[in-house]
Amino acid sequence: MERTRKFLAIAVVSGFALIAAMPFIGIRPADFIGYPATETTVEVSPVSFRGSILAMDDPELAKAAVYALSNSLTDETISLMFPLMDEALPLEVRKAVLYAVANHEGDDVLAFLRRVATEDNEVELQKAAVYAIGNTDHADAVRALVEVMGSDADADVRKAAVYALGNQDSDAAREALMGMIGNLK
Amino acid sequence: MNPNRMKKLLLLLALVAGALAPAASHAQNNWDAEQAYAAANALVLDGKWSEARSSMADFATRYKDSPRADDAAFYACYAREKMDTVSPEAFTCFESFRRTHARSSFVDDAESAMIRIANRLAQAGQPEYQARTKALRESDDEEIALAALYALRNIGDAAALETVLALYDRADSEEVRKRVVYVLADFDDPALTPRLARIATTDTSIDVRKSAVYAIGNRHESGDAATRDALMGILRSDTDVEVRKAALYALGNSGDQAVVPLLADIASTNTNVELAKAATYAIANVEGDAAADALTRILGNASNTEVRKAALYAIGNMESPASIPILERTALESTDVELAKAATYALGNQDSRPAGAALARVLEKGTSTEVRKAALYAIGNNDDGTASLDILRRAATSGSDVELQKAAVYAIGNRETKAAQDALKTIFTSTSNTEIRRASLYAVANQEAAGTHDFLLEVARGNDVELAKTAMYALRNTDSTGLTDVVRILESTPHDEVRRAAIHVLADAESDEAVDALAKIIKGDAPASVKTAAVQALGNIGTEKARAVLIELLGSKD
Repeated sequence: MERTRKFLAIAVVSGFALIAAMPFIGIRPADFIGYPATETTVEVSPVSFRGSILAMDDPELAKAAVYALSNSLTDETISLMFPLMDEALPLEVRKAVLYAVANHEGDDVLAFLRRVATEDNEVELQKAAVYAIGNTDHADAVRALVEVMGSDADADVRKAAVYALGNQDSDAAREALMGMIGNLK
Repeated sequence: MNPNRMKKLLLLLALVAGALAPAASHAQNNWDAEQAYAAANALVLDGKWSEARSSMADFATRYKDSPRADDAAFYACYAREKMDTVSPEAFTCFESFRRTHARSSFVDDAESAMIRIANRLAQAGQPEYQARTKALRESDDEEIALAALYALRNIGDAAALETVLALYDRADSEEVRKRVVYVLADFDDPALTPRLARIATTDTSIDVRKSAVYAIGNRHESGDAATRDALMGILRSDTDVEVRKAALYALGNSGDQAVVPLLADIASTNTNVELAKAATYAIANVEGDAAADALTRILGNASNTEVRKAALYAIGNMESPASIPILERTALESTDVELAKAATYALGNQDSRPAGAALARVLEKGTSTEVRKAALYAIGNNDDGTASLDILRRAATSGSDVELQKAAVYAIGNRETKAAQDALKTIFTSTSNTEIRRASLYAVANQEAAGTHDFLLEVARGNDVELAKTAMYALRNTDSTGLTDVVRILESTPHDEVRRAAIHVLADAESDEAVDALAKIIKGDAPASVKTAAVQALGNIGTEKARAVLIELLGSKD
């Protein structure tokens, strides 16, 4: 019974995910309901789990939905998932959102990660965001890490930024670290 | 009621209360605390922050002596922060926690939380809280700068190295210089070794100098002449002994055979005993034939007993068969008893047949009781089966030195075998010396072999009061099954000392089987000391039946 309930729930969430993703993967609803295809723009709203009992009661299912959604989105549309980070979801679900977004690239993604790293209320998520920034190939990653290192964030978060900078093969990272140890006496 | 009877009942009441009340109350309190904490913790895990906060705060107040009191106080603040992340109340909660539980392992977390909340409050227009975290922030900044130092090590290029060296030159803080030296060890630049050697001999802090030695040691690989020369230079310098000792160990840990002559020279001739001993142990770390030869020479030539003893232990730990004749000769011929004993124990560490044979000769021909006793214990710990058991049995039953004989008995007792138990029983029956017989009883009792219990019961039934008592007390060391026999002895022996010993055995067993017999003793005409022991035993047993007897005694009229 429990397994059936879970299966149905996954099916429902995945269905919504697929519908949300259709415009971005080139499928139009009209394609499979018999009407001739016409070029129309489909409006997609940002994703939300607000009011969803599922996300609170079954974090595993919610995480599966998060990853399913992120797989169906592109670097250009992944920002639809950003609002999930601000919702009152279980920590593990928010972490899944962070990881899912971090699998994408682009300016929006970097800005999102930088915001989580410096503003989120959970140190664990902030650190995860810092490591994610360290793993991106974005040209501004070092600048973002330097910002976190000098921010008001928790010491553990700033330290994570320092270590991430230590792993960057870049003059800017080295200079930032050398500047940081300039504070030692 | 008869006044004497009343006095007896009051005495009983005091004994029962003394036996039962404190332990029961303490256990109940612990149980309540565990339950309360588990319930509060479940609320935290469920994210029910308001209820979690109340429960944790309540726990911290009610069970303030509990080892979990600081956990609860911290989680009360943590839950408060979760309820409202921009809350002055959460800030002051953590601030108060930090003051009240200064030794708690959660202090670092509380400080992080204070900084975090102060930042949020500042953004919300309340900057005054940031001022209260200024010192914490400065400490954080230093920590982050030190983290940057380690991160620069990962980058590891010439510019990073230059920055790190410049930091060493300008740093006033001993801690910072120590960390710099630690980081320098990982830079792969040969020019750093002389620089570290200079730090090891010139820095004002002994700790920093020692760190520099360890850093050189970490860079040292066997056969690397530059680091070896640097460490030897430090060793020959007049820097602090602790620093030179660090250099000795660094050389020893390198496994470089080329360092053995220098270390041997220091061990044999240096007047500083600590340094000479450190050199000896460093040689042992090098291992190999050259090291074994050097240690043998130190054992023969070093002028200081402590250094020779260090050489002995080092030889013993190397477990080299070549060392057995040297150790045996030292055990038999040294006029220094401590050294002779050290040699004997070093033989014992080898755990081999030739070492066992050498120990037997030391036992037979040793010039001092102390050394022979050491040989006995070493043989007792040797796993070389029957041969060593025979040696021990002979030592226990022959000669006139009771101390030595007892040592042999205890050495046999260390073996958990049927043969050892039989040997102990034989010794017990064949000797007339009470001390040795008593030692045999205790040795049997310490064994977990089958038949121990019956043997002790047999002795406890005997006519020799001292031995019977010893056997009875020895029974306490065994897993007491067969309480019926103990009860029978309690009821039949005419000796009060044996009865008291039997009562103690029954008390330890915590079984209802003894309750009736104990009640009979209390109600009978035994002396007060025996009755008191019986009452205490009922308190120890602590079962329903035992309690019922005590209550009956207290409540009985007339």
